[in-house]
Amino acid sequence: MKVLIKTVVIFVLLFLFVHCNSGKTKEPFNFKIGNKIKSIDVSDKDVSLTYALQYAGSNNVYFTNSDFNQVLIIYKLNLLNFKFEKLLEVESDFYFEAYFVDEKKSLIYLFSGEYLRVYNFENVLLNKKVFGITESGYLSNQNPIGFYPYIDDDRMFIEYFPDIAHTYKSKLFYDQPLQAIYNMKKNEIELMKVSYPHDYKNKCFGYNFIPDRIINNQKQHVFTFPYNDSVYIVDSFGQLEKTFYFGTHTINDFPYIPFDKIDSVHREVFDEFYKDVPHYGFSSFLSFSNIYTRQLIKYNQKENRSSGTIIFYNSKFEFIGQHDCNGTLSLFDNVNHQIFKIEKNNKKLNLYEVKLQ
Amino acid sequence: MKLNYSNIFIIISILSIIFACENQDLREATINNEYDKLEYYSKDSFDKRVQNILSKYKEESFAIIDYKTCARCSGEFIDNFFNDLSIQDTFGLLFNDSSIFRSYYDDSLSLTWHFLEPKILQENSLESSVILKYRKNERNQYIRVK
Repeated sequence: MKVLIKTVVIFVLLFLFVHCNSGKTKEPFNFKIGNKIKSIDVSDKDVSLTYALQYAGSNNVYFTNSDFNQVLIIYKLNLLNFKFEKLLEVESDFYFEAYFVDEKKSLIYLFSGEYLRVYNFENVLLNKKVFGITESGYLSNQNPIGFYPYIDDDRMFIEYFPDIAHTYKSKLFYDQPLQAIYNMKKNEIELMKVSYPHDYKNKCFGYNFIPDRIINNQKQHVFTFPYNDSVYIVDSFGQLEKTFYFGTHTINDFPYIPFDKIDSVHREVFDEFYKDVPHYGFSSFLSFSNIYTRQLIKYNQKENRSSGTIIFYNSKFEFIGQHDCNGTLSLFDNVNHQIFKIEKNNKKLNLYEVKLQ
Repeated sequence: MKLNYSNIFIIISILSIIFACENQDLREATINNEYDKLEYYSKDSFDKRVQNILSKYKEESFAIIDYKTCARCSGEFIDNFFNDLSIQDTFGLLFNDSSIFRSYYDDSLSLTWHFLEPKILQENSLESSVILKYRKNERNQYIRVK
């Protein structure tokens, strides 16, 4: 009897082992780009998707023009009635870095590194103030751009870039806060406690260190990083609430450059590293559908082009599925839970409905 | 079945395997490996590859502009470089895109312009997002100027 029990146990162990190695049974995931449901003629407009953004709970997507040499234009596309309109057009006699559209107050904030300009929707400049340089760093979207400023009542949440020599080549850089809160009423700046993940403090990943930050429906700040498989959820005061696995179902291996070897190599190693090593980017949140996405970008040196994998997670940050695509995808949604892929092609802005099952 | 050490071991084994099964796809990336091209980009190795290219020309000093890589990071690098030049500057300028010549050629400058096949920098892994500057030292070796 004893021998029989042990034999059964061994069989169970073997079964589990084989089952384990054969791959976890995953729920089927179907990502489908459906028919083109709207095509907007922008032949007489200069529209770019580079700075396209959508705020949580809003049915609008904002775009800019692409050539800022003469003018800066901000467009609005409503994803319910597909009305496409110009919201702002101003002379761009400044270096444009980022913008924020305050939908409640009908204001547009333009960030240029040295000044903050506030316009209403009638192109009237309401305020211009020196902005962005603090004693210890910069409150702006210095290149490379990480994440966009966000304003909630009087609190502006903005990327913080410490003024540290050698920036990404220095360990000190990764110990610094990466977001500041500027209180517009009190004119006070507070640095959030949140900084880079543990690995970044010991291992250098080159100049593609930039974090992504999403603000979700609960106004939590959701941080992700290019060479890190986790998501860090922080409250609006900078307190870390939770972290979750936020990677792919493909095992990644992120090599690194040891800090103590940086002096012995030429800086071009970082250019090569950036191209060689797959990394995450373009984290986004489809607020009506309660779906988070991020993209794993791989560069194919032979073909000289990037390919990507878009990964989907539910509101609990659980993996839903992933889909390989050429390049990157710009997805947005509306209150009817319709998800759209938007692309610009032949002077048209094309909207395709995306189905996730 | 008695709860002896052998059985506890079996139960723990089963639970471990079940746990591993559940989580096998959901684990952090391994970050244990150093980037394998560090040696290739060591200063000696990189400069040697540059030396092989520059030795085909006769100037004492060079600037190499990898247009595509420079422009990707900031086109201003290139604008500033040409804005800061004076008519006394004499060196060989290696460029791999004709846009450089079209945009910046100025016959009042004493530069010697050399077109470099785009694939040469690529094949030698010398692509750079900054302008590479080299000058010959007393031992006839080209050393990088910061």
